[in-house]
Amino acid sequence: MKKTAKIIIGVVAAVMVVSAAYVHSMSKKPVVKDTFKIGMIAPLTGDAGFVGVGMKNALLMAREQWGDGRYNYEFVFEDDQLDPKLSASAAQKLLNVDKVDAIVTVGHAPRITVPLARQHDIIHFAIAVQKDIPDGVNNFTHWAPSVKLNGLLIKEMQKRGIKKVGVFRTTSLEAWVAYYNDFLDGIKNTDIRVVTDQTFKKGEKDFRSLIARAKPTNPDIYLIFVETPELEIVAKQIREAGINTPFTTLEGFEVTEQPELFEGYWYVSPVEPSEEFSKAYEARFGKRPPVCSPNAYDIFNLLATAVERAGSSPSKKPATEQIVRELKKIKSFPGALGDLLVSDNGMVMSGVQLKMIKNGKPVALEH
Amino acid sequence: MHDETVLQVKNISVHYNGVRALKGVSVRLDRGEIVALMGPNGAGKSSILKSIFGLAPVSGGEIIFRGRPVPPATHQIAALGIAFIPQGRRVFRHLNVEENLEMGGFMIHDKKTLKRRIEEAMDFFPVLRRRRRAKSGTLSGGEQQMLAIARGMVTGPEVLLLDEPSLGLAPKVVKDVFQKIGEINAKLKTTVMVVEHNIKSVLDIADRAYVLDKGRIVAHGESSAFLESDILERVFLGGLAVK
Amino acid sequence: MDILTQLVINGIIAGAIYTLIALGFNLIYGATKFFNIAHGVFAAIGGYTVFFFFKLSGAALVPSILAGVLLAGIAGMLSDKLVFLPLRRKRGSSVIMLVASLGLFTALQAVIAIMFSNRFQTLTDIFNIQKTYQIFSGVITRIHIVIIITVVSLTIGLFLMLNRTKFGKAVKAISDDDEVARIIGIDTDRVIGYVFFIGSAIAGLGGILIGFDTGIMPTMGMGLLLKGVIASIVGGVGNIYGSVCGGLLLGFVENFGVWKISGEWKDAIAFGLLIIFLLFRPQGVLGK
Repeated sequence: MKKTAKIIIGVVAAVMVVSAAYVHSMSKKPVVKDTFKIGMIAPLTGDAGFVGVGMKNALLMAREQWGDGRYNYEFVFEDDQLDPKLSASAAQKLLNVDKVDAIVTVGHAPRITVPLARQHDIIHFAIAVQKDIPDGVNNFTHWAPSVKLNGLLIKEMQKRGIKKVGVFRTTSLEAWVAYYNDFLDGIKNTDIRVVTDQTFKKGEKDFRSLIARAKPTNPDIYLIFVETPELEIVAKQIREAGINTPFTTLEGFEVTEQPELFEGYWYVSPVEPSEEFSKAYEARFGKRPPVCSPNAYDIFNLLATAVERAGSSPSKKPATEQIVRELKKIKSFPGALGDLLVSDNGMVMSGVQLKMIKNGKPVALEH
Repeated sequence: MHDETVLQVKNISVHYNGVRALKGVSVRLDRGEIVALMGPNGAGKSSILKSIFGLAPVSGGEIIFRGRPVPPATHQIAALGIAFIPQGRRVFRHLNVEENLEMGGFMIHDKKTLKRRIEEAMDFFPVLRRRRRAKSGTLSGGEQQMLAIARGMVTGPEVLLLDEPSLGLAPKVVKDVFQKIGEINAKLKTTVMVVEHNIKSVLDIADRAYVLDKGRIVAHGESSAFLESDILERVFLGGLAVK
Repeated sequence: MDILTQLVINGIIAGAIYTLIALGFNLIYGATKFFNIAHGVFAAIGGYTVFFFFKLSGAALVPSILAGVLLAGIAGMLSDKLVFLPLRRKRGSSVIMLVASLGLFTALQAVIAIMFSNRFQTLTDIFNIQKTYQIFSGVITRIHIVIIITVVSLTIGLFLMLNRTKFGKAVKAISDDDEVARIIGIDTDRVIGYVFFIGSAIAGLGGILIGFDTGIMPTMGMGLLLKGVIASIVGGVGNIYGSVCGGLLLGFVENFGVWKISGEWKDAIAFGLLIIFLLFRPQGVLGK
């Protein structure tokens, strides 16, 4: 009996010691945060390198400002030099090697990443205008929507009594085709009509015969849907043909190096980034934020907000479906590009504004 | 009597893409004579003339003109006083007769001298004077051959090399061509080496002859000796042992 | 503006531009019998030399243009001496020469892009809207008049050179038969070197004038070259006068073509013309 009692007491004591030790160790163990990995595919080198570098800086700044959240946020940056082949290989690497949870893209990369995002069930944010990219399931876009840009363009045309529009546009780039199609949709129920539609391929230098075709239609304004250098060459050759009709566009005058060609002409572009964002960016990186950087900044903040809201435990990040559900609940979000709304079909709606080239510089106009 | 050797081809070999065209061939040309090079197709006759002008890949041997090796660059050889009339006439088709002759005198810098030489060439070949403004591509085969020879003669060369001048010409024209070659040698004292298939025509004017077969000299001597022997028959029909 | 008159003027302008490139291309092709793709980049070299001296360094216009023409010519001559002549000596085929010229084009274009970036540049401080002149019921700008006068002058100059000078006749002789040209004492390598200089200088001048009209980019050469090649083939490759004929025909066909069809079809029209000629008249309008 004595012996049995000793054994029992010994076992109980051992169990108590072990339990106490376990409880002690558990109380001292820190909580391990899961990591949400965000990949970025953008040009970091070459002539368009300033775009990718701006996006990268904005993402880093956004993370710094975010501070200590429920999850860790890690970035993987890939340089595609705006080359679709490099975009494709970058996407494959991010998905198969780095196993990212989300990708931010610009340029050619959005089109390439869309099906991959679905296949790998990750979140893809494209800084792009094409309407068929966002699906509200895996793919989202953050750029001033074409419908909004064209909406303001058409409104301004109506305000100025413009009825006949002459169009010069490239069919080589998806974005411009998308803009034009939305413009046509937008004018359907107005008295604005396209009296001449001159199309050309990117790289064209001689528009004189197209201009000769357009001239007799005598439009009230020429809508030019192409970027540098064709934008400037078209404008110059229209003037050389003795045509003094004004020009307008979406965004294009913003980055022209020959603003004197467009002096005094109004156009529509996405809103300027907030002064707060611009100042913070300049203080951090020593220069004004370039195009696409405010979009990248907003994308991080939208994603992180949705991830934090969707996740229940810091040690396990939420699934894509849960994050997307939270994203689509965002109907008013203070972003660098104004008050943001995430639509059900995956478009982040940001603001647009009217501008004019005055003394060689773009200035905002009251609408 | 021709006893001064002006041109000597010594022991040369020529290979085209690994295929031997000439092996250890030596020929000589003495001042004032006409020498014929004969042999069946592929014997290497033309390769001898081409090698003199740097137009064939020579491996081994040397080519001596007036006691000195000829330079390797083709364009420098004409200045030495050797003219080459290649096979197939090869006039400058888009230039007229007079312009072709001007080209023949490319190295003559004095315009008066050039004009005189051109007139002398046309005196020698009257048919060219009659067609002086005609594009050379419009001339008959015989006229083109005359033009090619005249072009070579404009600089007054010491040595004239001709590669198959009778190729593609009618018998009457062949006779005229060889008559002219004979006159060039007799009147202008030009030393001539001629590659030719037309045995009878060339042996009629030649002093000496070499016979080639399969890249080697198989016979050489006075042309009269060839006319009297059956060497040529044996070479053309059945081959001859190498001497 | 009467549209038909304007289309005729536009056709002449476009034709003159294509002829500018085709002239030098045909001159070089005639002597060497290969398609020198690098010809396009010499146009860019001319344009960028003027950009460097005139716009960036503030040098006077005429010396800058002379420098551009000279540098393009020297670049062409060096390309022959360092690349094409060694290949000719090794009896390189036309295909090998063409590939080498493509490599040279790509390399030189990359160098220009590294030195000046890929961005579109203008040759003047502001993208000058040119002074225009009325011709019948059409308009033409000053730079286009300069281009047309330049093409006419160059054609006459080349005609005189090829037909009245010893050098020109040597070029024609080499074009006919390079081997016989050497046999009669022409240093064909040296003459071809000079041909490269002249042809490339003409391309450089073309790049400069076109640059004043529509600006410059490192990649401008390929588009110009393709049109120049089409003009050459249509007119008669290797034929200087064929350059003019082919250039004008191409200019007219393109401009009248887009009158009725959309502007996107311009390249298709140009290459369609090329294919028609290759199938039915490969020697071109004027032949060799």
